[in-house]
Amino acid sequence: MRIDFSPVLARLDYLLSGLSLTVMVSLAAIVLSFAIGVLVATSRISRYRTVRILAAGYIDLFRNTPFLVQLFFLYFGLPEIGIPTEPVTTGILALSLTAAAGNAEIVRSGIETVPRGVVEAGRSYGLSALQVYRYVILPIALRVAWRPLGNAFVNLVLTTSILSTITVNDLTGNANNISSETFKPFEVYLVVLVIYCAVTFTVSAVVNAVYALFFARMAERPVIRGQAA
Amino acid sequence: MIELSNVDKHYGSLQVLSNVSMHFADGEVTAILGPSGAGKSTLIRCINCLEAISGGDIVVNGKSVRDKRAVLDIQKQTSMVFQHFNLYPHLTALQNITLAPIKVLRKNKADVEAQARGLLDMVGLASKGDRHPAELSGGEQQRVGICRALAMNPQHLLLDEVTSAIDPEMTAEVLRVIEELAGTGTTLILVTHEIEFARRIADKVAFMEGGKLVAHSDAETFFNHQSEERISRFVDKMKH
Repeated sequence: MRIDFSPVLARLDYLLSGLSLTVMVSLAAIVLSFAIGVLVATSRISRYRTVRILAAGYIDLFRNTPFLVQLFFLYFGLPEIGIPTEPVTTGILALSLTAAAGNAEIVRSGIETVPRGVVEAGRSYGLSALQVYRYVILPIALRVAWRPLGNAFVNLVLTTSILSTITVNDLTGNANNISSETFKPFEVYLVVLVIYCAVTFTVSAVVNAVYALFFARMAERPVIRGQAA
Repeated sequence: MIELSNVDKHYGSLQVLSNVSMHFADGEVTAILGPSGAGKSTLIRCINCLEAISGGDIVVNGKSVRDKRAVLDIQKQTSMVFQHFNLYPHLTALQNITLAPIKVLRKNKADVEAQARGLLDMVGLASKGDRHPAELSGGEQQRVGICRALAMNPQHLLLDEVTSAIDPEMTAEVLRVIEELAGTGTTLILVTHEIEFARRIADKVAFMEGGKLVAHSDAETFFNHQSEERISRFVDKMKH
């Protein structure tokens, strides 16, 4: 067998149009899953028992079922009860809902690291519970949660490839099409792997830049490179 | 003015305050002394509404801590400085000071910042307003903590062992700041183990033990004419 990239390069535009959809879906799902995640994490520590139970139920439901089945359930199942579905929006929704469950747990673990005394200080000067949460607890929690959240974002980008199973023409979807047209799976998927790598590296770089910009200075003990045991 | 009458506080079966009645007059400096676990910190935390009392009443300027609607008013009038600073780690020194005045007192941001800079200057930290707490020493953090409390323009300042978490060589600068506040009209209530400092600045001294108020008198009487041998022993021990 001869390795030949030319059939793939000839269809690069088509592949890149898939990439742009992947990027769009990823961005939308990252933003949505982050927002829902913070909301669910907040509900998880609510003073109202019912709210806490609902949030915990949501997290358990999504974290203990396979993504592919959730996706099929939403995409193929909902139309049966009269809710029409469309591949891209259903894909974004499914990704956001499932990633939000993970993000909620990450944010909650961040919230649990917020020193009690700092929260007390806020209360003692008369900040309302909401103000303490908004101006004190959440920013501190997000610093701790930010890097794990970055991992979750990378994971989310990679998981978008599964949306090709419900006919989304993302990077993977278009790669599948090219592969069956050209009979060059080795070349096609190698190129696609490199592209995914480039995308996730970019996501990590953005995550690190945001950390450096907003969170680095408040670190209690900055870890110095090369000082780990 | 703060009036405590028959205050009880317990956590489950653990009694931390037991029938405490006392009175803090406006502008007066009161030092609260006593061994660890005596209930000193709990007492001022109850005044600040950080802890709910189990019995009796605390009235701050005519408002009872038992009245939920009065809590915000009481907290505006009683500012707390904490043993472990409890600065907001994600905010700069300046932002630490201005957060509550902007959000709680709804003051103009520029005015509050000007006031905060003045306070930082007063405690010798004029150049460090944009530092985060992690970039400050313990003594510096505590001085920021004092500024944060003062920025609320409180009528009463509650100081909870403010030097006990600081290196000894750093305590002097914090005590100097507190000493300057004494006699400015702000009521100071300080829980402290710094006996010499208390002797120097306090008008009144309260002594607590086992959740009870054992003595409450003029500083002069307390230190120089102490009739309780137990207290004299404690004071002597703390001097060293």
